[in-house]
Amino acid sequence: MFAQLSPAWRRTALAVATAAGFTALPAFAQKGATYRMMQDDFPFQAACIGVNIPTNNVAYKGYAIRVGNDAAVLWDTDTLRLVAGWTGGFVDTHGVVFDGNHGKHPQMIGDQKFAVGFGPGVAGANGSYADTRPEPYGPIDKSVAHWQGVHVNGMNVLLNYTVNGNTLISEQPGSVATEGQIAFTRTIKVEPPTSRFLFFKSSKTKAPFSLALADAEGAVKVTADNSVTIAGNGKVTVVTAANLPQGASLAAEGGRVSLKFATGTKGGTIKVAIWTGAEADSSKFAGIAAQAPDLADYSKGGPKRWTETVKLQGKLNTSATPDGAYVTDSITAPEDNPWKRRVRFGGMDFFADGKRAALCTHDGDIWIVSGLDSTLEQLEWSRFASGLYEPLGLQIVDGQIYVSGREGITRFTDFNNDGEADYYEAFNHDIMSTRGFHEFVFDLQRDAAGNFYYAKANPVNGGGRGFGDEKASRGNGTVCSHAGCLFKVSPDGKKFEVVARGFRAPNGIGVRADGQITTGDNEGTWVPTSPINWVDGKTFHGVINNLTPKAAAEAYAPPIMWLSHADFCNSNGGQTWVPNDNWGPFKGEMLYESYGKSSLYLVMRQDISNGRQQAAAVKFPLKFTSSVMRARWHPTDGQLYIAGLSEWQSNAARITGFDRVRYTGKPVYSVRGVKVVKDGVQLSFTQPLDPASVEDVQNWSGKRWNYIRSETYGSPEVNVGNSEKKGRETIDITAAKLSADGKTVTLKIADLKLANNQSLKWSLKAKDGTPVAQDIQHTIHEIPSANALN
Amino acid sequence: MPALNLLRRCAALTVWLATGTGATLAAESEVRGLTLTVASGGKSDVSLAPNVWLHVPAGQPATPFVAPGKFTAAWAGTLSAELRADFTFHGEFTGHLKVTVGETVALDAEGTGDQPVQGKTVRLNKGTNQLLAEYTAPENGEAFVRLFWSNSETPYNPLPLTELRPADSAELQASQLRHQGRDLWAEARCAKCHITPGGMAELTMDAPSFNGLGTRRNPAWLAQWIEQPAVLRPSSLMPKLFHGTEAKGDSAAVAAFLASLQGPTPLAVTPGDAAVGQALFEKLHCGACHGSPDSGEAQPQQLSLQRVNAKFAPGALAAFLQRPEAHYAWIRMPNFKLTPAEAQNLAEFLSAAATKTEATSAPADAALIAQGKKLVTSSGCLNCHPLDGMKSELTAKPLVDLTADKWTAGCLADTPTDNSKAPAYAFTAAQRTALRAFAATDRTALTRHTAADFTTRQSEHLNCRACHGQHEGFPTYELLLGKLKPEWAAQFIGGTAKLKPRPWLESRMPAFPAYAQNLAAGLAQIHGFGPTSGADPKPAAAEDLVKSGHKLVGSQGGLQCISCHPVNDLGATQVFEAPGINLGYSFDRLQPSFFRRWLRAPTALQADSKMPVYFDEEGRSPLPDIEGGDGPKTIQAVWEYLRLGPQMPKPE
Repeated sequence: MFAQLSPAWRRTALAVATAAGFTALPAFAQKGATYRMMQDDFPFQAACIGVNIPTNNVAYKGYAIRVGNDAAVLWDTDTLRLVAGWTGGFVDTHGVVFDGNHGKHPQMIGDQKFAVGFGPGVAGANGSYADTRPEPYGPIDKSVAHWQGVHVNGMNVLLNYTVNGNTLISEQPGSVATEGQIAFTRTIKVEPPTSRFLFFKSSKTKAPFSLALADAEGAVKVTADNSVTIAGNGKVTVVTAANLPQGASLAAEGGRVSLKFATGTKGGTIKVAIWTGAEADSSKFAGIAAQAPDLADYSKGGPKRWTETVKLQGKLNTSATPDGAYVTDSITAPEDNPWKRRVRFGGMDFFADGKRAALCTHDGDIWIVSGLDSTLEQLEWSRFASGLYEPLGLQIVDGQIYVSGREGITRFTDFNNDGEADYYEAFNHDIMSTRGFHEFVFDLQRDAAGNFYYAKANPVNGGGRGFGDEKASRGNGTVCSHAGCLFKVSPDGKKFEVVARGFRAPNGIGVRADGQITTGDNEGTWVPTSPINWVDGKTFHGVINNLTPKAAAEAYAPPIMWLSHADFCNSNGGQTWVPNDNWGPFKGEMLYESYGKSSLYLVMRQDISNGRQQAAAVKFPLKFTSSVMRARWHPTDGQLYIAGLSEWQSNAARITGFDRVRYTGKPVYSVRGVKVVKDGVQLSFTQPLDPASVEDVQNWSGKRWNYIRSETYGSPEVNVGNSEKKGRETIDITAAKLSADGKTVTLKIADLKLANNQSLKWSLKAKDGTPVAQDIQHTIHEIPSANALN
Repeated sequence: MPALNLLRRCAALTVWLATGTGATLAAESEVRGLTLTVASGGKSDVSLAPNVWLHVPAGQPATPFVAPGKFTAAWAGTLSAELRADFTFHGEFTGHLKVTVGETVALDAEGTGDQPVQGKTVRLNKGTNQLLAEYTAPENGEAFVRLFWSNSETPYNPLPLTELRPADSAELQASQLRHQGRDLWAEARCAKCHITPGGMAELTMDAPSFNGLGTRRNPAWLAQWIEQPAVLRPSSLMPKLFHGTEAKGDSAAVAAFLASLQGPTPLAVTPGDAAVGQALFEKLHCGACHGSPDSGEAQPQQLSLQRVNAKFAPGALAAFLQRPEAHYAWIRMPNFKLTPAEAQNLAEFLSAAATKTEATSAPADAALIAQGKKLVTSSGCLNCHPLDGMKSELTAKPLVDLTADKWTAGCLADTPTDNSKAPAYAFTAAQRTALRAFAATDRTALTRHTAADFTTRQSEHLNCRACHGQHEGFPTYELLLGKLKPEWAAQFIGGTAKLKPRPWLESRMPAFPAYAQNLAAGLAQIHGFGPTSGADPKPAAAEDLVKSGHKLVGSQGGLQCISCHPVNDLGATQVFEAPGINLGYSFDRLQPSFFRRWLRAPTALQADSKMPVYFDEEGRSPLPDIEGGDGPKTIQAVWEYLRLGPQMPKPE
């Protein structure tokens, strides 16, 4: 496959056709038009979102929701709180996935009319809104209130959550305009649990609870017609409610207006209205709640929103390995689309028939592409969902799409089979999220048992060094106990656990069918260069933040190998395992994706003592449309598909790409195994080699070096024997011996030493004369005491 | 320090070559570079050159040791390859160049100036290969050579400095001694007493001024220093002028006189914050030259800070730190552009860490002062140190009369006697050997100056490599060769540049105003470029290229340079790993050829660069829709856009 000599500074193969992966320049890009980041044809955008009042009022996992009349509200899925309503705008486009800002997040634009301050928006049976979370991030006590998800229907949304573990609340935020004034409405359907006694069925709340409606300071007037008026600062806030069942009431206590439910309250649909304005206008709002819109019918899904599709042609053979065994095909991305959405793929999976794939974008959309056949001539892209909070992982299970993002794992249901999601379900949103722009949530993988895995970055400070320095910028976020962790979520979504910690920015993980987890990580603080981590559930993977337990930090497990920043990988993608023989001779081997170098590597592992491993990597010299980040095996054609984006340091050509790595069936000419032996290294190849070229040491060279793991950003390469000395050291390869079958070379290396990295480079011929020129990097944790034969 | 002996000189050279691209490093600390023999007018000069590079402006000598005029140059040594592989050699030169690798002639052609001449493809063995580059300068005009190589995996670049080793040559060692002797003649200010025909730039170097010295120095320290300079600073080139039983008294008299020289205004003493000063000491890497402030004389390469309290009068240290060159233009201590508060904080820190001393007052004994005044004029102090209104009465033999046989007596006696009248220098035996080797030449080298020679020596004296290549954000010294336009480098080294290219660094490039012009020209000339920027005409259809460049720098269908690089007042959009330098300055800063090589393969020039490699091995751009994906055109398009500098339209 390879037969291409790869120098230190660049490792790609020849043969890219002139128009790698796209046929036409996006029209809007030519015109210099900007992307449409906040959509006016979709009801919400999820993000960490701030409002103006009170100071620092923020929803870490917020939905800014358009409610008509150029008004918007903010919903917090952690605290189940309608944070604020405002008129005259939506939210600004600050933030890492919007305008690229490192440190700011979207903030409301307009005139804020009401607020509920930070903390739980629901009080449970004990009547208290107190925040009982150990850290002020992630979901509040689920026994009080538990976020379920959001339905969309046209421009309406229905927010679903349970209260006291048994009462379902479904509420639709809205607005009513009258005489130039805008009131915010909450149409709240309450469904208490149903119980039976003999033949009598009843639905009544089993315990009291309250929903926070507005915080306001001033003189409070509660009237019998379910209206609360709070006057202060020359303004009044009027909260009214209609259709209150018996046992439900408006109350104003401690500066907060609540909708209170007593034990035994029956279900029903309550309409609440909130208005703020000049006192003179307040009389207009008597009875306004009754005008709140009725609930739309969400059970059947809404009308099709994105009726257009983007039809494109793919391109075959955009690059090839020199032996012709592997080629890339490009599946053209809908960079130019009618909605001016930016497309940066962060996750991808196939539907079972293999004809279609779903891809999520870091920009918050899910796209579905059809036409994934051998010709790629009729690609058709359609939109499936939008408004998501920085999704970077996607799985399809039983035809249903699951996406991981800053909120956790969300599952999508299309009730009416119109190709668009109607229900965005909080499959598991237990993960904590703070303001940090760098708290990326990466990848979504599954084991054979159906468990889900994904990872979260540490809140790296703007500029890349250190974590969660709020003094430098609030937008750096806070180190929370999920920072830099890898999570496992049970197949039913009910159980969420941290299975590994100590990561910095692991943009991509791998899960073998047997559940073995691997991760990469991005060099930086405590990460000297790109590692491949072997996660065994007990180990800590090196990145120390201010919450890292001391014992964990001491249990640091080095990776199975390092890849050098300079020439192999400066920023990782995911890992995947070759499932079978359909894709050439590498069944059961790991492939490593490099985001930064837009490259794919074969990882060759060697077992050493105490259940540990050491590994080597060799590149598939192919070219990709963008970075190499998320790989999946096609369910029917057996080929490898890779999606990627370009957002942080990468040599990726395009901002996004989706490529197929196709095995052509031609013989592969490559190294396929690397083992350190007593006095050297043993390399096995896929084809017999020419003895004369192998045994001439002029055709072999190598170097070695170490790294320094520290809290500085990355590491220089230093001498193996003397870390004060920078740079790589040339090793002395004294002999090369070829085995009788011509497929195994044993290199004798003088003064072989343990090394964080050793590189080997060769320019040989196969027995049939085909050039075999490659280079590898490997890590030597251990030098076995005996010369192995294989 | 100036008198680096030969070994140390080689070792220093090794260090700066070794800290180069970082991609490949031999474990051994060997001397890197090539043996360069230059011949002109029947004379030859041998030196260690970093590479097959050279630039000689019309009418100037190739080195100070040969006369101006047509010359030949030959670089000899070995070139190492990682594996047996084929390489093509290319030259940018005037005159004639022949390059032989092993037995094979790799290039043999007349030069065409800046247009590269491509040679043959030759096979290099793994390990060392003999390399000989023979150059004949043109009859007239500027002579220059820049040699490059390339192959399928190596983009067009100079030969890697880490892979070059000089040919063994007894003549190289002998010649280096002569160079060192010449250097010492200037550094020890020999010409200040022994009249020397001028030409070498450093012959005009001054010494600390006596005007107002009493305000700046403590009297007790002055007396000690004058009596035994080498005791206070072993590497000092200040000679001991007073000998025998009178030495102590004479020194005290001179000190008393100097202490009486009060400046126009007393220095203000403003207390600073030592902790803040300590942080600044670390930020500015002061330790690179001084070690830690509490270290003594243990490290001969570093200037101890233990005696700052003894030396500096109250308030004088802060004033000195703020403007070191105020009373001594050629001082090696650079100007860090400290604010008054920074200088006070740093002074406070240094003072707290240094040995405490009792304050002494200046002797008021008029007779002693008068005696000192007399000694200052008679003993030669004023030959080096300026003092308004007074002249030295000491004369010595002019250089022309100092025949080589005389360089073993007087200042250069192996064992100076106590009754000698000659100043006693703390020369080492190696330094005396070097001076004598130089004495044996016709000494015309002192009449000639080349910026390349100046830079090679002064970059060692000024300790450039103590920071460059040592800390993040400090390009290696070798990378600077041929990187910066000399006009920009002169501003940056001289401290007159308005901008800081890497504003995120806590450290700052200090100013060396007296040295800047020559260093800037020398950095370029060592690499084969002229002392002023060469012609860089706009290509045809430049406006279309500008449009392409504008798009390439942007994020909409471009290479997204603006993710990390600001463009004028538009900040970088997404700096994740390392901030980039503002592209609005790039055209003013960079040699165009450096820019081309850098964009083509940044990690080939600097292995740890965070800058991505965008171009493939054939040099093609990854964006076929811009300039047809043609690599050189794509790179030129970015350059044409950068050419607009402050007028660059904002990237999208």
